[in-house]
Formats: sequence, C-alpha cells, structure tokens
Amino acid sequence: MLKKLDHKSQKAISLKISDSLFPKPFESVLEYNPPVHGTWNIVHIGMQVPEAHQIYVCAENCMRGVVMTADEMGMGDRFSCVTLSEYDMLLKSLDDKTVEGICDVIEKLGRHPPMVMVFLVCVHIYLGSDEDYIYRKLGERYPDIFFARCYMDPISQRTGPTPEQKLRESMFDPIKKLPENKRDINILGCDIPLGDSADVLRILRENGFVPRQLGDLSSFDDFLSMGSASLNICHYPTGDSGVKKLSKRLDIPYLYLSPSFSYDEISDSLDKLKNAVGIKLSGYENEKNECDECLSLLKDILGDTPVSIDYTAVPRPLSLARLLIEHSFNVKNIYLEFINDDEEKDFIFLKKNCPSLPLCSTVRPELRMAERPKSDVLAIGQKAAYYENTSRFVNIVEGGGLWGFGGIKELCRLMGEAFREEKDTRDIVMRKGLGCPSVCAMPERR
Amino acid sequence: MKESYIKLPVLTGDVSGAASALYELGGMFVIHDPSGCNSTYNTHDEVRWYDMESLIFISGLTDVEAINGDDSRLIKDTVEAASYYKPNFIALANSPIPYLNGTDFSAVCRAVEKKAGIPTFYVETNAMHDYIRGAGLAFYRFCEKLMTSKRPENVSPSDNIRVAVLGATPLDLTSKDSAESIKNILREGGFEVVSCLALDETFEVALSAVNADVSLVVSSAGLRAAKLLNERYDIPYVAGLPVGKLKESLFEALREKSCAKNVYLDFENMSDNKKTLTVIGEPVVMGSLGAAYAAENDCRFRIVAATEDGRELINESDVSALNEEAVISALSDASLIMGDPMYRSVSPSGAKFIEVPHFALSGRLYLDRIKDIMRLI
Repeated sequence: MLKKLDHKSQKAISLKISDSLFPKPFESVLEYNPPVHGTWNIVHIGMQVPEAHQIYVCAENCMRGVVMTADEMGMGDRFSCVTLSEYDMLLKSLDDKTVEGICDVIEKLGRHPPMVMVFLVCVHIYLGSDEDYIYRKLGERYPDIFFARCYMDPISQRTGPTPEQKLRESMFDPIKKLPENKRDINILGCDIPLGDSADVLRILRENGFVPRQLGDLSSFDDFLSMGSASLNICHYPTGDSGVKKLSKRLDIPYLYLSPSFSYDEISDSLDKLKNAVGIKLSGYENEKNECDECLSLLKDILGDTPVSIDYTAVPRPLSLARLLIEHSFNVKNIYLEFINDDEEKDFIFLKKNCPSLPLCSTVRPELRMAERPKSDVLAIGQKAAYYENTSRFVNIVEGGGLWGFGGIKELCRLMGEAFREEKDTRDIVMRKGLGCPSVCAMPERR
Repeated sequence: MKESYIKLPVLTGDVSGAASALYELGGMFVIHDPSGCNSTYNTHDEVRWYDMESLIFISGLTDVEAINGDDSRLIKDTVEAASYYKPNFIALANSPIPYLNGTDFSAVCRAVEKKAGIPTFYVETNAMHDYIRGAGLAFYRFCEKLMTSKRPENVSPSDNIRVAVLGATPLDLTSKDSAESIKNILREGGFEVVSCLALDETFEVALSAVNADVSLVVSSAGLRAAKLLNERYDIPYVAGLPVGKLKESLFEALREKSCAKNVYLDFENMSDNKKTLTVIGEPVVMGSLGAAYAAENDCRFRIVAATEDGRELINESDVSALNEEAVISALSDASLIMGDPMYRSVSPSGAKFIEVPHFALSGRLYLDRIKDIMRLI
C-alpha cells in the first residue's frame, strides 16, 4: 500500500539555499513529471512561424506527444510524421527512410509549404545519421522548400543544448539579410510576447520604432521581412543563443536584455537599449518610485500571505524572490531545477541574507507522494500552484510578457488579482502551451 | 509509404500502454529513457494522473550513459526510489536508445531485485509499437512474475462461476464508470468477479485471478495474460464485452467455460440484411459494440482492427489496419462506420458515421464525449 510521505522526506525535495549548489541544487535521479503542462514545447514554438509545416521522424511512442500537441492546438494540418520501426533502425538505411518518408509526406500534402521543419530524433544522433546527406537530398528534390534542421533529441539535453534551444536557432535560418529599415526592431527568442506594460516596447514605440515579435506576423513573407531589422533583442535566456546566432549571420546588432526584477539591472538594460537605438538617456527615479508604491500597496493587500515562485513563470525566479523579500513579502518556496547564469548574483545575495530560503525540486521522485495540503499560498507559476495546492496563482509562463519597471507594476496587479480571484487550478495547469489554442477536454475527476 | 501520417495521429505507444496497465497495482514503473515519454504519457494517455497517485518515473538517460552502456545510475536510482516507497513490485520499460544499444534488462532487473529485495521484471517495450503491445506485455509479465507458479490448492468451491476480467485500462475503457459497469453486469448475470486487471483494483485482488474459473478478455491487451492463465492454471478465456444483445451469448460462453472464444464474431454475419457496419479500433471493444449494434439494427458488421496483436481476435474476413494508409484503404468502401471521430477525416465522404471516441487515438480531444462504454448500445 502506498503511503503519503511525512515531513522527513522534505529534505530530499527541498534544500535551504544556504545548502544549495550553483547552478544545479538537486542531483539527477529518477524523475517524476507533475500534471502541469502550461509551458511551450517544440511543436508550440515551431508553429509560430506562419505557414511552416513540421515533420517528425521517430518512434511511435515518442511521436504521440508531439502529434497530440499539434492536434490539441487545432493545427494538425501543419503537422505530419513518419514512424520508425526496428527494421528501419537495424536493417534499413535510416537516412534513406527519413528522406523517403519526408518526401512521401510532402507528396501527400499536395502542396509545398515555404518551410518544412524536419525534426530528427535521438536515434538519428545515436546511429550517426548523415544529416548533410538527408538535407541535401531533400533540397535537391524540393528546391522551393526551405528545410530547417530541427531536433527532438532529449538524450543530448543534459550535455548540450536542449531541443528547444536548438529550435530557437534553426527556426530563423530562412531569414536573409534585407536592406535595413532603421525603424524595424525584432524582439525574438521568447514565445510569450512582451505586453504593453513592458518598458522595452513602450520606449521603442514612443520613439518611433516598430518593434516586431513573432506573434505580430501573419505570413511567411512577414517572417522573412524580419531580415530588415536594425536591431535584434532577446529577453528570454533560452532564446539567447538562437537570436545571437541569427544576428551574427545577418550582421544585425544584438542586445540581450535579461528579464531581471532588480531596479539597477533594469536601469542598465534600458540604458543599453537607448544607446543602441540612439535615444537620450534619462533617470528612472519615477519608475522606481512607482514600483515601490505598487509593491507597498500589494503588501498591504497580501499581508503575510506566503508567496511561492516557480521557474516556469519567470526566467529569473531568484531575482523576483529578492525583489519581494526586499519589500518585506513572505516568500515561502522557490521551485526550480537549475539556476541560470543571470541569477548568480541573486543566488549569492539570497544565500547570504536569506540562508533558510527553500529551493524546491519539481521532479524528484519523492514528490509523487509528498503531502500537498490545500493552502492559501499565492503562487507565481503553475508548478508552484500545483505543489502548493492553491487556487490563487498568477498564471504565466516564460515571464508572461512582463519586463522591467512596467513589468513589475503589472506583476503587482496580477498578484493582487490572483489573491482576490480563485482559479480552477486542475483545469488550467493540465493544458499545454499557455497562450496557444487548446481544443481539448480535461479528464473527469476520480 | 505506409509509415507516413498526414491526417491521423499515432495511437498511444507501447511504453504508455504498459504504464497504464500497471498503474493501479501499487508497483513502481521506471521508463528507461532520456525524457519525454513520461510527459507524453501522463498528458495525453492517462486520465488518472492528477487525481490518483502511481509511481511512474523516467530514468533521465543521458547520451554519455547510453554510449558507454552505463546502467549503474539506472540501478542505483531505481533501488533508492524503491527503498523510499517499498512498492509491491518494480517494472522496467525500454525505449529506443536502450533498445538499440542492447541494454540487458534481465540483468538490470536481477540486480535491482537483489539490492531492493522487491520483485522486479522487465516489460519489453521499445516505443515502436502501440499500447496493446505494451499493455499486453505488462499484464503478461505481471502475472508471470507475481502469480503463483501453480494454482492454489485451497481454492474454495463457489456456487457462482468466478470470472477474472483481463485487459482493462482507461485507454479502452476511459469512463471511470466502465470497469464497475462490467463487474456489475457480470454479477447480475450470476458470476462472481474475482478480479479486474487492472482498473479499480488492488494488487492483492489482481493476483487472485488465479482463482478464476474463466477469464473475460475485455480488450486485446488482456490476451497474453489470458493465455498465460490458461497455460499455467487451465483457466479458459472468452473475449468480449457484455454489452447489449451480446451479453447473453457472452454469458453462455462463460458458463460453458469456452476457450479462445471471441463471442462477438458470431454476430458478424448473423443478419440476412446486406447492410454492413464497419467498426474500427481495438477489436474486442469495437467488435463487441459492432455485435451489439448489428443485433439491435439487424445488420452485419465487420472489424477493422487498428491495433496490434489482434489477428486472433478477428475473423479472416476482417482487416488489420495498422497505419494511416491501411486505414484509408480499409474504410474506402464503407458506407456506415463506427469509430473515433478522427477517422472521419479518412472516411469516404458519403459514409454515415457513428462516433465512439477512443482515448488511445484522439486523446483529450473528445474526452468530454466519452461515456460508459457499457451503456452505448
């Protein structure tokens, strides 16, 4: 008979920050996967390129997750697949099978998409597929289609870039350098577009620039027109390498603006942005004061309500935790598996000033049976909401489009709203790709 | 090329099928895979994940471990997790990379069992087959490893015929009421249900299938286990769901303790009416629904078996269609079809369609339309 674990097991699933190592606090062991799926996967990410078609070549069980992602988005018509058998892997040429399968898909589609994202998988890497051969053959057969080199190879993700990081590089490969339009600025690398509250957008728009994000595009030609930008910006750590590579290839200046919650870091980032586009620098005292005021008002509303944060909500959970702690909020838990380089200073600060602050795993096997008593914790993020078993949470992923001083104020508003209005956590967190269409139902309760 | 899919999704895979089969039995299921299989399974192929705990984990295999053939962390981590949870058993499942590098799962199981002191067995999945293969193997290996090698001698006699229900998973019987409906209908028919492998069932009760007089295979996922019970304990098996007018024929077969009897097939050509229903999906479930519909509507029916390992569960005149091209071909001349709504996109445009959503195909897309299958006809 399975039993709920008691508090003694807490040690394995959470650590005081003072006892934690940077950048990986938790040892890799067997992994539990909680029923929380609001983050975007490679299917969601790839669908942002208008008119592009995705083709996966892999085993059936692995295929199931991606094909159902596309179907649950209502975009099954932009997804196809080729299944692999033992025969293909052991007795046939996997490379030839891959080429034949993709060609067969394109013939059956009856049309030529402008871009096909070909996803090779773990077995291609493991069996040493000749990727150049595969793409050469495809290119010879269909010279009017751009074949992007994409991967679904989680086997490599602990020792190299993740499939998402690789996709965020290759998805921009069709874009060619175009005559520069000084007003065009691309904001790329994050699936959740910056909202109107983000300082970056506001400043650019106020100064006559045209910031473009993937969500603004409605056609493949629009997508290609991003080659005319005078500046590329990324504000999401996982997208950094891809946008950097695009910028280098097209010789477009690049700026990474970390999604920090530190007033100093935000100020520095805004100064960098203004210098890059030729806007006069100014101080940010008004903005800081407004943030302080919002935080103070929020504190009055929340009182000592515990606040927990997870890494899927904001890419800089430690930075957010630091901001909240410095404004006297009761930060209870931070859920993360890995600490980004961006956060090293925040990690050191919190380790010194809040040594007992808990860092909590989201995948340790002990979590499966850990007690999750119903709580009134205000969670920021779906995983925090699930593990804290709370219906009060800020439902965002990948930063939620929040950035800078405007982002902090908007987050305060969202936190106040979350505190007042309960959500159906179960229904929300099980849906994939927050922000994407979701044409599916949730299981009946048991 | 038959392996390309444009309109239909692939079915739930074998790894997910195995996890689903063993879900409620109090064991620990470890998928030896880098990542992704667990998320895929619990999102799209498991309705119980949020509300009902089960110890299903992934090993997080890395490229370095795969290349070096290093199984030590798999063994260590499995033993460590087992020491926390003390599960009833441990099952290990394979995936493409360990399959390709020839991981010796038998040896890994021996090592785990020795260190953890918990019965451990291997389910021979490799992610390249469908859920029937995986669930079927999981049920088989569970019975093989954990049931007694001989039928207990002290099985007390019973007035009622004792039935072990085999092959029940939410992949075919998705509604939370379906398993209980099957049991209730059997009880109303005068049978004693000794176990239901493995829905609404505990580990201990599941093992008492050895006390059955006859097995009832409610999905092709139960066929391998049924054959094992037959070989080991002389327990005959009958296949079918006690639904609609099929019920009495099924009961008769159970009372007669028929063996390897697919009761629903008797209804295929029972009618003189040439009107033919084509049912597509898992053959036992859809065959039973087809039989019940045919009896109710005075027509014939034929089965298009869309899942693996179903050849013994269909007639020679029926068809096995294991990929999109084969499904399109099999449905090309059908005028009346019963199956998952996703099959509409590959059905002839003039065909009348009776929707019976199949969770193992359409996943969550039509989950709110899935009813107790025992009440459909």
